[in-house]
Amino acid sequence: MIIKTDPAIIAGYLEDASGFIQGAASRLVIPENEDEVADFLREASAGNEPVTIAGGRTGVAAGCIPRRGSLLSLERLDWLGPITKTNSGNTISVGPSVRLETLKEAVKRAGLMYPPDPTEPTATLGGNVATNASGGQCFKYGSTRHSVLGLTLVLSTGERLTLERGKSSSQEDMLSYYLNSGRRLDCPRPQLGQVRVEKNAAGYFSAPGMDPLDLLIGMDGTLGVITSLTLRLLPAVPGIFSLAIFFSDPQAAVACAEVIRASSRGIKLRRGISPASLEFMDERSLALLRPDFPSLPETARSVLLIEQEYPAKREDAALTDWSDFLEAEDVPENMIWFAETEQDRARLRELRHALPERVNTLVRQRKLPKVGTDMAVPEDVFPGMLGVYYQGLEASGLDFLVFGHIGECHLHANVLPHNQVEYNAAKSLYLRFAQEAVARGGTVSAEHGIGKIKHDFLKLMVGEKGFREMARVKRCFDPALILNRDNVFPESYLRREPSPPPPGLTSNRPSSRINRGDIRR
Amino acid sequence: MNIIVLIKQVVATTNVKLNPETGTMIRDGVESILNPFDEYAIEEALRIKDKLGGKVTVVTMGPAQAKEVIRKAIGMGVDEGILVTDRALAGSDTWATAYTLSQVLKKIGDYQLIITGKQAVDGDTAQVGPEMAACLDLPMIAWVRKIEEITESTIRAQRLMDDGYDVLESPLPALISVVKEINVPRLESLKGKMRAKKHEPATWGVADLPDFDLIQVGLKGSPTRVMKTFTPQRQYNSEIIGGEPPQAAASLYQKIKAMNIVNK
Repeated sequence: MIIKTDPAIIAGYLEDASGFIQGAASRLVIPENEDEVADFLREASAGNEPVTIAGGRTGVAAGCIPRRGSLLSLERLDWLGPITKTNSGNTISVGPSVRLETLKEAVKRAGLMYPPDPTEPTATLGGNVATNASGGQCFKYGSTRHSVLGLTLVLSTGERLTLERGKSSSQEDMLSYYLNSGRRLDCPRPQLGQVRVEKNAAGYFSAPGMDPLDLLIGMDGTLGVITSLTLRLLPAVPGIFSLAIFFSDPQAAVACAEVIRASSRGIKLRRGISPASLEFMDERSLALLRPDFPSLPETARSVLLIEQEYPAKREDAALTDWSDFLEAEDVPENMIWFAETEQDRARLRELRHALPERVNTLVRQRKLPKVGTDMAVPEDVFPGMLGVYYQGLEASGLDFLVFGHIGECHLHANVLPHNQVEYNAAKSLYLRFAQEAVARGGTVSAEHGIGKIKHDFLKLMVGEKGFREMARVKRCFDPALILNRDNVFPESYLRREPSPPPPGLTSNRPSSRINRGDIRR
Repeated sequence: MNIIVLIKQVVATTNVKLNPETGTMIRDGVESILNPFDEYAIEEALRIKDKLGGKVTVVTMGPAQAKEVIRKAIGMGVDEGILVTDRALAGSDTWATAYTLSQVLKKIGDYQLIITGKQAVDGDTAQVGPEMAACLDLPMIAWVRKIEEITESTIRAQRLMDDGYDVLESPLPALISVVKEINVPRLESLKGKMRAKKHEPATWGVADLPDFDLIQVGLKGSPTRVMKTFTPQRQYNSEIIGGEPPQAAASLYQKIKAMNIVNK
């Protein structure tokens, strides 16, 4: 185990992509294996020392930034296991610090693929799982959760929990876990209200009849340290092409996206129209990109970016299906860009990725943070939600643009304030949008996560009761309450709770019972 | 205006691996692509056609699989393509290639402008364009970064130089080579891609070229002689200069000066 206390070295670990600047840690701890993780956590629990877990530090919600205590960097746990062929397909086991791009490259060589594609290729898989990250192809393949078949978690007590999907069941309101030691850990299923969207990174996962594994995906490091992951792999896709479909009507892209979504979901099939990703940029986004992309069609006022996979020898049919479809949608030939080679597809991705970069450049120039929404709502209420966005934004007179994952009804409305007054106005608008999204059964954060910076918005969804519910769950897994404090819900909820005996902490072997009184702060 | 664009299929990497024993390029598992500079040439031709009308034809010399880059050009909007392929041409150097392509241009006959990329990224010679202009006795403007004005009979263009640019004017027909500053190449369109998949380019061998002098082409006809190819060994030497920063900086400066990198 490597321990560093040099403030200059620690300072390099106190940043992620959130812009959060209040990080501080007294030491940096780098374990070299799972045993060292367990030993360290046991010691930290005994000393009531807060521990914050860091992976690739690419998150946008300050989840990996400590306020105090130790920073546990998992960077040495980067082993890549062999690919295993099972009856139900191929899997791979990896350490939590394997980077997404490393895994993708390794499985590609074996003719396989790992479907989740979060934008940041240097993100680690442990971080992806802890935050249930998603990417463009989430539209077809779902978020990271759908590719996790198992994991090993080290609890703050030093105990280990190895879980496989489908191997444990839950009762209506109780989740039971059998630790590797044999001890049973019962944990109440958090009651967090109903969210009607599948893409959700706000708060703990909870659903009647859920697999207990799912609680540990998207828990933002608050329940334990992930030391090993088993991931589902799929056969590599034989072919894929990308299209940029430009529309001269600002609304037309939204309408066309509705048709594509309905076809993809099997509601109203259009032959061959079932893309892996479906993304949108509005007129203001295109205006921001024009200086860097002069070849954008002059009359374009909205755009959809899609990626379509096709089986071997079916390229002609796939091209014809899209051509017929877009002809029926009255999209002229010169408004459709096609990309198939790696180079050309990279150029289209660049168009999409250049947008947040342009936004960040403006943010730096104006020296005020952007205010960017991350809400997703159910499909049936999406048009109404879009109306709320545009009416609010246009009436505000603020500088804004809207883009994102229209396939999942998950658009980012970004406001770029010029001054503090505008910034405050943008924050009020954001709060209103969040309320509207929650009222429609949506989530306040579909992919960025809550971390330390969006508690207020999560509160709109789950209320104080929800915070208390999650704190209760945390107490079961992390009785010393040291792990990733202030992630997901405010750490004040770790104080306020009276101290009844842990409801779920029972044991079939009384000798292994943890006496919470011994280690509670 | 009839515009001819000369294009080439190259391997999709600048990090070419050589077989150390034979000195030849390892092509296995390496994807072939349209020479990136040629995309700018195609784009510029399509823009001129949009303005003045006419036809854009691409010509490439290479093996049968070079049809793929013609199809890519068709997907971008080019009207037709010609593949020049013949066993007799194998091993041709830049001069033999320029001779062959100029014979192709003589056969095509009706053109006002020839555009090439500034060079191919495999050989990096940038010779074929100028040599063709010599063979065809045409005026040439190399390294064009902007076409200021073009009509059916004249062109005025900016030629990129190390210290700025020159403005040159020429009658047409002429040959120009373009640099990447000239435009942003378009992607293929969906319909273009579908057309391209069905497109079968005209294929010409040496027998299709009138008055073709076989002595001037192939390995034997090429004046270039490759004596040896090898991967240069890179040597890295490093020295860490310790001490306080001001002294270390002064010491570093002396060392750089001793290498004649600076002379103050």
